[in-house]
Amino acid sequence: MRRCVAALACLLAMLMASAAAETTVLGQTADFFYIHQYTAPNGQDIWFTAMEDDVYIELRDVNFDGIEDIVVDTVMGANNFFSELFVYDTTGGAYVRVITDSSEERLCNVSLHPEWGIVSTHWNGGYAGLLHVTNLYRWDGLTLKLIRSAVSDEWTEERYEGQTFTTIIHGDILHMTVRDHTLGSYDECIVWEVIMPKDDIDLEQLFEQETEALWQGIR
Amino acid sequence: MKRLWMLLLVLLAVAGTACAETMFIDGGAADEVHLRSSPVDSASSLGVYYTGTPVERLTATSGGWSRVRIGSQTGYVRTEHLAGEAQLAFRDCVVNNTTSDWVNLRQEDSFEATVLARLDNGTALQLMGETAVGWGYVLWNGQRGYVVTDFLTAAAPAPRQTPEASTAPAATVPAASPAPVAAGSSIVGTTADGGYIHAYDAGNGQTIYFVAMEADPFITLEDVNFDGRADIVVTTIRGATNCYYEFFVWTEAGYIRADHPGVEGIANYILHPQYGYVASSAKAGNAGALYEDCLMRWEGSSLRLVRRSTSEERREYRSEGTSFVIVMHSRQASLTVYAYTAEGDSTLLHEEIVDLNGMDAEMLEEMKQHLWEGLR
Repeated sequence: MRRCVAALACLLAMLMASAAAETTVLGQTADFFYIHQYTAPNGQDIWFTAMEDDVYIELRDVNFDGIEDIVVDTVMGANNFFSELFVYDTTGGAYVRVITDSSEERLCNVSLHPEWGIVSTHWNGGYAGLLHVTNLYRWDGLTLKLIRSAVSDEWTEERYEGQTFTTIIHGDILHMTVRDHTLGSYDECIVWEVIMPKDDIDLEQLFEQETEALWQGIR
Repeated sequence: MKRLWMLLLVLLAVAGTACAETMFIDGGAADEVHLRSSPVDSASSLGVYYTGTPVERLTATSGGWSRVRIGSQTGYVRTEHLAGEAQLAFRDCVVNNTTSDWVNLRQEDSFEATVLARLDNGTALQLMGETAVGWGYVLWNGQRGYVVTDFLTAAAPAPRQTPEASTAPAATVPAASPAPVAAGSSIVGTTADGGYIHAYDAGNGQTIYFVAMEADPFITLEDVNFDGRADIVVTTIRGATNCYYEFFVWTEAGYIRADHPGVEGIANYILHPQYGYVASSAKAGNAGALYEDCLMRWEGSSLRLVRRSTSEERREYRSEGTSFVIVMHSRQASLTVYAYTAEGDSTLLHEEIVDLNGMDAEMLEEMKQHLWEGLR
């Protein structure tokens, strides 16, 4: 519950801080995204695609260098806002699209933690936040490097049997993991894991344990 | 005595090699032929090879089949699909490894095979065929070898297909690739998923914007909506087997991007002006046995989905208590044909489950008949 309230507050803060910006829609893609052109404060044209024809753009220092960058909300769902970041590259004197070294192409519900130099994202997968993915990134130049992640999902088994591939999703069992991606490959870097029936869960206690493991040694 | 045996074995080996005759794939109108695991049409496909691919004909078998070796694969093709002279119909490709700057050219279709060369992104080569497990049999610098097809993109618009003579009258579209419009597009930006936002000067004072996965998409002029006026066609994804396109059709208000609701992308399109249909045909693996074919009809500047025929690996979905089970049968294909109304309601016209090993040209032709039933 506390987490839901925090996420809602975060979203409200983002909405209040950002404003519907003047962009020009110049086309559409096969997957129904709009092609936008936005003129940045330095006169530079920024191009991006968004699900909405009316997007929110915020000027905010996202890489903690004291210079305002650009945050564009490109997909606005009920629980999840997906953003693209364009940071001001002082070397080149221009805004540059931020890329990550994870599979997260558009950053979900971005939060900034300047005190620890962390950018976090949080995807809400439903069941009142029970299913979720939280990623912690650290800046490496103009790239966001994934350092920790927490995944809460329904326990899934996969197996090959001859020429059939079976996936069993156990709707009554929760599987939570925290990974430290600085330790090794995806399968080698689990630092905390819980598999338990949903009925037996003390959610608040579990979320606290997950958060502690996720931020261990960072803050 | 042992030495004599060795000599005999060597002589036999040489004789065996000498018997192997070099011939070339002749795919006829289709320009491609399946290499089968046994000398019957229903045998599983080991790969598909394009006209001109050199083969070693090892033996002739009964029933008009030949046992052949193509690169590291040995299998069977119908003897009628072998020719003494090469008519080349290879696909021009370039190396495009999005996860690295290069790919390995290997001697055989295996990650354990000897590396013959390291090919940098952008290297031009010719695709002679594809194995059923995703390796491209390529020709580079006179050298034959294998490259993972996911790391190849077409170097030119995919060879345009015309409807088969047996099933539809000839379309007005030339078989050869249309020449790209002289001027290209300019990149104005990128997208979050690695695409490029292009701006193209349409020549009427209008700038057209579109997103393509390549930095150098092909732009052609072609009458795609059968109104006698040239429209603009751009490639948005150029894969080794599938090219995806977007249409900008000419209207009184200028060029308008053609919507195609319900069809994710227009793949390897075929125009059927006689019937007023545009067909999209995407291969989804297993040497063409898995696919999605769509028929669309123009409604204003939109393409409305009329029929869809799919062949996909059979999946079963079921609930077991609190669990949800998905079973994918990798050697079975679920074949369906649906008809769609203008309101988007669908009706199942045909459905069958087949063994993927049994998918042959005849079955694919039957599915085409189901797709077109009553429309021509």
